[in-house]
Amino acid sequence: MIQFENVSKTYDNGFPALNDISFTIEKGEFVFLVGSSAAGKSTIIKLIMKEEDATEGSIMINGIDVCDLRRREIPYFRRTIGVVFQDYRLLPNKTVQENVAYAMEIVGASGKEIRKNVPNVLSMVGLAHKAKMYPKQLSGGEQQRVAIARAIVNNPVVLIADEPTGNLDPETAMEIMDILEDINRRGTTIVMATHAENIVNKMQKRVIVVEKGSITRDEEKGGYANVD
Amino acid sequence: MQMWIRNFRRFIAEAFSGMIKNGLMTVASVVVVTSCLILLGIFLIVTLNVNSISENIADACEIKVYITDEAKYGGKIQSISNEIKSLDHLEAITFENGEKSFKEIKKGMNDEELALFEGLPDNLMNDSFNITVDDISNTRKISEKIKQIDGVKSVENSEKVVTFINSVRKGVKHFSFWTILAFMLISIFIISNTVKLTVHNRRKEINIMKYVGATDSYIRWPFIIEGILVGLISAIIAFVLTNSVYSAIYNAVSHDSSLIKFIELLRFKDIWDVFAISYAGLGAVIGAMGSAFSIRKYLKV
Ligand SMILES: Nc1ncnc2c1ncn2[C@@H]1O[C@H](COP(=O)(O)OP(=O)(O)OP(=O)(O)O)[C@@H](O)[C@H]1O
Ligand SMILES: [Mg+2]
Repeated sequence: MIQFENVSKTYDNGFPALNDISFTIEKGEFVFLVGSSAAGKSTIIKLIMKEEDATEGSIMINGIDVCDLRRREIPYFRRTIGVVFQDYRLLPNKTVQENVAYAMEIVGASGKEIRKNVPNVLSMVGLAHKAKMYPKQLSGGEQQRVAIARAIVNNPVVLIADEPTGNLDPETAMEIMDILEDINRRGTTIVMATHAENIVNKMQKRVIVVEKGSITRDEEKGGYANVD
Repeated sequence: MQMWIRNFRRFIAEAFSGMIKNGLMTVASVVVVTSCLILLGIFLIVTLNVNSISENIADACEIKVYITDEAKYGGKIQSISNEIKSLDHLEAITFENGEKSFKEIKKGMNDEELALFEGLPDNLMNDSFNITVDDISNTRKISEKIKQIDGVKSVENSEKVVTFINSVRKGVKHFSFWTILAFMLISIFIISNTVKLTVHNRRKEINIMKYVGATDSYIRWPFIIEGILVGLISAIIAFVLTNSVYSAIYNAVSHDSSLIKFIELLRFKDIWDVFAISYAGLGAVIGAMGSAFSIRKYLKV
């Protein structure tokens, strides 16, 4: 599903963010990427969605060799993975339902499909009643739900999330996690970078720990802190 | 194909909503494009009118060639006519019988005026040829040549007017050149900056679209259509403004009887199509190009 093989990433300014990392994530897994600040978590996410290119090594996503992707193929590749960010990244001039619909419009979905699927995902994230509101009229937690709805509306095989709860209070964060777990139960692979210790400990999922650009621990049903 | 139509409908909808939701920027762009179009309009008005006025004057500037009485009664008229016709740059030549012209003139007079001509012979006026030239810049040269012809008594042309028109035309040519240059530079500069501002404000939006997996062209088209719409709206505003301001000037000038009759301005209803076409065309092109150029940078994510 997601396969990193001896991947290194050195940014243009010469900073070695990742140093020879390898891991494999199978279909349907739920994986936390943890580690202190500047460890390289976001870099991994950026490599998965081809926002950055790996300096060395190979990355396979969904059977596609990401390193071989040409520029004009990237949009089509990105449609197969859903992304959620800490800062939500909703289109400010579109309502909740228009934001979700946009993801369907770009893939050429018909109006009929859009009218059917958008309310479905919105009620899945519990926002059906706010469909006609604009992002700035919503709380952070609600905006993040919209972002999640948009990320999953095209049924991606992978959902990657970079600190999706970073701006939310613990309670709201748990609600978001419930939604993500729900999505995972339906078969979507989830990779989530986070600092939220309590969430990681509570969920008991696979944890990959990154420190200074290397993977220092990778365990099933792990906790945040080292419990050797 | 069906997909294309579906996308196209979405692009149009996106363009309209983009225009409305970025209202301030839309207004700014419209103001800029409208100003540029009006600049072009002023240039068009001046050029069209100067051309038409100088044509009017040129038409009024016939060369009048008077024939001596010896030539007339010596049966030389035909040969003089042939000799004139053999010259280059002639457009038309008509013969005017002096007696007939005299009668025509007298017809238009009242009794008091007629009394002055009492007792004068009917052949008071010489016969003449009225010649029009293809271009007034050739008037002088031809006049000189005709003077050499045997049997020609005198040649009249309005030399001062001719020289004047020639210098005005030269002036307009210079003026047009500089206006076009200034117009192009100013519009390119202002428009690219305004659109850049618009797109910069929406850079985050473009980034998000790319994250979701929109292709470059899917992102670009609504912007381009938006640019075209801005251009067309500007064209309409510029057209309405041009119409009302120009008509006001036209009315003011044509009421002023002190201006001689061939300095007659063109009426807007005779030239509106030139404005409609160049405004709409240029507005749309400027809008589309502006959008296309300034969005290019932000698509590289
Ligand atoms: N575009 C870039 N150019 C240069 N260096 C970068 C770039 N992006 C990230 N880095 C560097 O790479 C290192 C890893 O960054 P990354 O964003 O992956 O960390 P992170 O684990 O996500 O940290 P955080 O938990 O604070 O989000 C950092 O030292 C950062 O400064
Ligand atoms: Mg990060």
